[in-house]
This record gives sequence, C-alpha cells and structure tokens, in this order.
Amino acid sequence: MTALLVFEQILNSLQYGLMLFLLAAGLTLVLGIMDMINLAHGSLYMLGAYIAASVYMATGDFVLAVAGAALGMGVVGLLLEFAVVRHLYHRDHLTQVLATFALILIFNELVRIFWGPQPLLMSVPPALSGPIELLPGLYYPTYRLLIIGVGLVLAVGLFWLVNRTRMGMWVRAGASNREMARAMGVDIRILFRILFALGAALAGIAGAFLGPIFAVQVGMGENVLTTLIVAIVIGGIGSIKGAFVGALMVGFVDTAGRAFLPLLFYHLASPDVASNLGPTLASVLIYVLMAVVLFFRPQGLFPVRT
Amino acid sequence: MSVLEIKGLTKSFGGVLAVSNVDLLLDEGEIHGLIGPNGAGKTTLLNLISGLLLPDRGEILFKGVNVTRRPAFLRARMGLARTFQITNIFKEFTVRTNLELALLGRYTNYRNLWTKVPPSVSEKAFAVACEVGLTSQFGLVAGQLSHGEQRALEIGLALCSSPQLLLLDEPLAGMGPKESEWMVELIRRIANERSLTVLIVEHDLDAVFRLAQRVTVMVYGQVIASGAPEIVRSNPDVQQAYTGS
Amino acid sequence: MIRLLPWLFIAFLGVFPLLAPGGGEDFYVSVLTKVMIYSIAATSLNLILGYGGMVSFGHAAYFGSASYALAILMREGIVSPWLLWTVPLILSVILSFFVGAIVLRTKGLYFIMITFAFAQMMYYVAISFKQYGGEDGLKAGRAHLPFLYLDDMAFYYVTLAALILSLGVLRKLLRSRFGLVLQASKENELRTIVLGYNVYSIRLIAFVISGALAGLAGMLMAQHTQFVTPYHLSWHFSGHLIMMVILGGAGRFWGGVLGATVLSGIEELFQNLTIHWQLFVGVFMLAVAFFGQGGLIRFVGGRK
Repeated sequence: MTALLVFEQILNSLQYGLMLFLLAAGLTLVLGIMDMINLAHGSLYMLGAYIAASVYMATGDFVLAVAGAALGMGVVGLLLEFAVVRHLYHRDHLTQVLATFALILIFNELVRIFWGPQPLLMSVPPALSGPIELLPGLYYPTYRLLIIGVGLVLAVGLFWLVNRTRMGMWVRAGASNREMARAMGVDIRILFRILFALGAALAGIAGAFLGPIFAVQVGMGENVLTTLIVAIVIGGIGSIKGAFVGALMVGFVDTAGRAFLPLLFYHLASPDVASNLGPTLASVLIYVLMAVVLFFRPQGLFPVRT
Repeated sequence: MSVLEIKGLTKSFGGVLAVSNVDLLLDEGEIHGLIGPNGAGKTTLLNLISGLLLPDRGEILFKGVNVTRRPAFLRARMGLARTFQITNIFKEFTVRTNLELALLGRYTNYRNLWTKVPPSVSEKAFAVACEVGLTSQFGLVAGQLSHGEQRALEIGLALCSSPQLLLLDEPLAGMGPKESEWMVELIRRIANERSLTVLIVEHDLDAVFRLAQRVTVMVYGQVIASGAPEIVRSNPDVQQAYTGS
Repeated sequence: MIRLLPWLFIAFLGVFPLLAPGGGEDFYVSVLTKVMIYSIAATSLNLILGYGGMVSFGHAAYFGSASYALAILMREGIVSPWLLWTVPLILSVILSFFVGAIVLRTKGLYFIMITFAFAQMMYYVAISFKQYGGEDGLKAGRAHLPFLYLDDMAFYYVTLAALILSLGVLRKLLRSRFGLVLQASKENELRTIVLGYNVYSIRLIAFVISGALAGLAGMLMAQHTQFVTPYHLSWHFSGHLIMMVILGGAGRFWGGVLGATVLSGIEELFQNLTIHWQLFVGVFMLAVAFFGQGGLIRFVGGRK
C-alpha cells in the first residue's frame, strides 16, 4: 500500500463524489423545496448517458455529446415537470413514491425500446485517454481529472447560484419555508419548473461523463439512486452544502472502502474470509456511515429545516 | 404543594428568544390566565410544559416531579392534558371513538393493548360527551361538527384522562359571543366539579379576568406582570403592552 | 351480498385444487400459490402502510431475508423442519425490530428514504456473497414436515392456511386497542401522543408484526419456487408491494389480497401481450397513483 495508491484513490473518490454531487444537488432541492421524492432522478441520469453515448457515437465529438446530454435532459426535465411532476407536489408522499417509481419502469422500458437491451459502449475520447503526470511518478487518467475539474467548476457555479443570486435566495427561502417564499412574490410554479429542469440537466451531465467509466445500460439509474439517497440523507434534505458534503463522504467511503477493505482483510484474516467478507463489507460501508451519522444527527449533517 | 412550578424556563429558535427566563407557580385548584400580545411566546410555553418542545434552560416541575425532559406522552400519563389553538381532534373518527381513545390513553399498557375496548369505556365516553354538551352528536363523525362543537370536543378529550393539570390554548378562538359565553361557563363548571388546575391562554381578556384567580402577562417571551387580575389590569406596563405596542 | 365476495374467494381457493384438471400438478395451482404468498406479503405491508401510515419503502427486506435464510440453511445442510420453518421467521422478527427501532425515529421523507436505504443494504449484502449465488440467486427446496410431504397440492394448502392465519392476525389486531391506537396515530399523530400513548412503541410493534408476516411469505416463496432471487430483496419488489396495497385499497381489510391478486393477473396479462410489458405496468401504476386513491376495494365493498 503505497502513498501513490492512496493518492490515486483520493482522486477517484473526489471524482466519484463530485459526480454524485451533481446528481444529489438536483434531487435534494426538489426534496427540500417541493417536499417531493423523485425516484426517477436516476432515470434522468441514465437517459443523459444514453443521449451522450448516441451523440458521441454519431459525431465523435465529446463536447457535443455532453452538451447534447445537458440540453436534452433539460428539455426532458421541463416536459416531465409539466406533464407529470407538477401534479405531484401537493400529493402525499406515498403517491409520489408510486408515481415516480412507475416513471422508472416506463423510462427503463422506453430506453430498451429505442436503444435495445444491450449496454452501449461509450469509450473515453482518445484525446483524453492517456494519463497525466501530476507529480513525479504519479500518473492519473486525464479523463478522470477532467471530470474532477468540471465537477468543481459546476459545484462552484451551483454554490454561487444558490448563495449569491436572487434566484438562489428564493431557492433557499423556499427550502426552509415555502409559505414565506410565496409571500415574497415568487412565482413558485416557474421556480419549481426551472429547478427541476436544472436538476435534470445536471443529471444528464453526470451521466454523460460517467458513461465511459460505468456501463451505459438500463438499470444504471437505480444503482446510482441508492447511493444518492444515502448521500442526501447524510447531508440533510434540502441543503446544497449537505449534498456536497454527503456526496463527497459517500464517494470517499465507497471508493476507498472498496479499494482498501479487501486489502485490509487480506492482512488480517485468511484469503477465504477476505475474498468474501471484504467486498461485502465494502458494499455496506456507506450504509454503516449513514447509520452512524443518523445516530448523532437524525436529520443529517446540515438540515435546512429544524 | 404546587401542581406546576416553572423556574427560569428559556427557549430560543435560531437566535429568536421565544421564552425568556419564565417563572410560574400554579397552586392546586387554581385557574390561571396567561395573556399577552401575539408572538409573546404563550403557545411556546404551553408546548414546553406539555413536552412537545424541550427547553434550552430551566426547570419544569409537575406535581413535584421534574419533567423538564420527559417525553410528552409520559407527562400526559401523569395527568397533564391540553387543548390546542387550532382544533386538534380525530376528524375521521366519531365523537364516541374520539372520547374512547382519550379515555384509554392514560390506562393502556402492553398487557391490555390487545384487548377490545370494554363497554364501560363507551359509557364513560358518553358521560364526558354529556359534560361538554355533545350528547346528541355522540355518534357523528367529528369532522362534521360545527366549529364550536369541535372546540367542545377538544375540551372533552382533555377531560377524559382525569387530569390534574389542564392547559387550554385559546379555547375561545373563533367563537361568537354566545358560544364564548357558553365555553366560559363550561370551563368554570368543569374546573369546579373536577377540582382542576387550569392554565388558560386567551386573547379574550374579558373571559380571562372573569375566570382566572391569577393572571400572568407575557411580552416578547418575558413575564412582565403576575398576580391578581385587578392588580395586573391596572399595571401600567401591562396597559402599555396592549395599547402602546 | 357483495360483502361476501372476499369470503367466496377464500372458499374458491379452498376447493380449487380439488377441482383442477391436473389434480395438484396443475400450473394454476402453482400460480394461485404464488398469488396467496403475495397476498400475505401485501397484507403485512397494509398493516403498517394502510392502517399505520408508515410509508415503508423497504418491505422487501423482510420478505427476501427470510427467503435467503431458508435457502442458506438448506445449502449448509440443515434438514430439520423445525429449524427450517422457524429460523427464517425469527430472523425477520429480529431484523424488523432493529431496523424499526432506528427508522421509526424519523418521519416523512426521511423515513421513506431510510427504509429504502436499509433494504438496499441487505440487497447488496445478499448479492455480494458469491457462494450463496450472488446476483443469480440460490436454490432452495421444500421443508417437508414429518407428517406431511409437501408436494404442490399439500404446499398449496399450507400456504392457504398461512394466508388465513395472517388475515386472522390482522383482524384480531384491528379489533383491539392496538388497532385503534395505530389508526389514530395515522390520523393525528400529535393528538395521539398528547393523549398519553407511546406512539413510537405502538408503531414499532406494528412494524415487527408486519415484518414477521412478510418473513412468513418470503419463507413460503422460497419453498414454493424452490429458488431464491435477489429480486425479492430489491426495491423493485418493495415498490410492487406498495402498488399492491394501494391498488387493492390501503387501510382496508382485503386490500392486500385484492391488490396482489389483481396485480398478478394484470402482469400475467401484459406479459403475454408484449415483451415490453413493463412499460404497460408502469403506465398502469402511474394511473393508479393519480386516480386510484382508495383502491379497487371501493367497487367491491367490505369493511375496514
């Protein structure tokens, strides 16, 4: 276990965590402000990946692929909000769960119909496929570095949007007190629609960037949704800061856990136990983290409402 | 022994001091009025006493027992009952079921949890309904009652546990003059018949001064006056709080 | 007259295998067994969701873990029917107790998301054990009783007995103080607390009973199909169970049975129509979510 390996895993955690943040930010705002659970958020991520993969395969232009995913998902988000989601805001949580769960099934099947059941192969663009030498002897894939870069830029952008703009102020007001936001003269409906579309666009971007790393397949949305929910619960519902911290924590624990826990077990126990227990424990580490956080802070680390 | 004793109770919400260093002493059988302009922290105080909120500092002693951090349901089982400013009944259940639930609350434990509701409880429920004037509405769904009838049910629910301390949060809210008159009489009657200690928060100063033996005035979370109604009434600070603010 | 319908259904279930052409080897006996198992599971969820107002999105956990417990016991060579029939149930009880104790301290969105997360945790644990099948699932078998060999017909009747038992438990609960307080806590939690009830405790008890019944269903499923699959630990399955309860009628006595039966029938129908049947199930679910409040039980009548 070298320092280089550790550093590499830290970078991987950052990369994964930042992408999770892009997804978590959109979802947590919907949860906090609209008090609505949107299980289909993972499907938006999946759709974004599919759109990006298709555009990339057709044009070979990666930038176009990401832009296509962002814009495409923004449009899908607007349409979805208008057609289905906005009717759910005033309904009870049970109905929201059922409806958005139904959307997952529908999206999954639509993707299967249009793109077929086989996973799409999206390769890392050749220009970015090589490693970069960050420090003497430390090589890191250029592509992942790009993701970190884009993730940081978007994160900063989001923080600026939420903390320094008027719209952000409305968002924060709405997150802690919906009635107050309404009283401030904000047209809640338009705000919600824009927010939802923004969240969808971010999900699309995340999907586009993660496509080459994870497989582009039906069901990728559900895998990420679980991690997302853990990150949001840890961070606190409705809080962008919470989503950021939660996503990074989950990204770190999951990545480092999967990388180091089996190694740890190899040193401590027999290879048999290690090969079984290691991956198992690694996969539940984020839930253990969640349980620990909830024990001390039942509403997450930075809840918006008291 | 005093039924309720509060010492130095303080509660703030994110920087806003809702209740500030409040002292209060309630003797057995006393009807005590709690008045003050809106936002004075009166409902917060009731929430602290009944256990729906936990204070930052201070002590609450109920029947001599320190209940400052005790869960709300345990305080209820000790004989503390309350009503709410906005009617808080089981709207989908009948008046009868509402009262039966209230009667069983204090006396349900893990052993009798599995038994059916005994017929004696239904009889007692009817008796309470009579006491608050809901005899003919006994079988109706609570949500169908008029506002005044629902407020009466609210009081009825509070009586069911045979409490020693009754907290009333604006029982006259939303009532016209005739209904208010009736409610005041009801409160006076049940307080007498059951030897209850009552803490009543009200904006209707007339009603308060007629009912209460002592009155406390709260402004911006602090107690600014406390004592016999006439003395409080003529207190210049109190008059200023109501007219000047 | 319409009130008798559900009882007629039970009677029908009672005599069906005797009248079936294949005499027990019948495909339909197998299908009905599955429907009955889902009915038990849906009824167990109805207790906490329909009557208790707890939107648990992780109910599959108690179903699936009992299934896996049975299969793993068998894989490890345990043959005693005493152990095979009780250990999975005890596991469900323990699991639902510990999860419930933690999870019931939260409410609203947090509750939904945390129940979801815990169930997913168990899903990932299950599929990570390669020697127990990983993602492919694990073979199980029938835990034959010393006095009864469980061929399909016998197992059908065992399942029917379990269903009647579950409904009996629900009925007893609903008629007791417990049932009253549980429903009260759904209707107005604050009021229930202020009346002196330990709502947390009541909910936990309901949660555990519900988990136990789900475990019963899971254990039966493992024996019925003689196979366990991680699907029964997945949130897809949790979502399906929620769907059954709402479709049938949340908070209505026969809601679970009705929902399980109808949903199974509808899925069967769609599956025969097109390979993209999930799309139609999704659309159907969406429609139920928007327009189906109250459930199909509205058309059948019956009591709460």
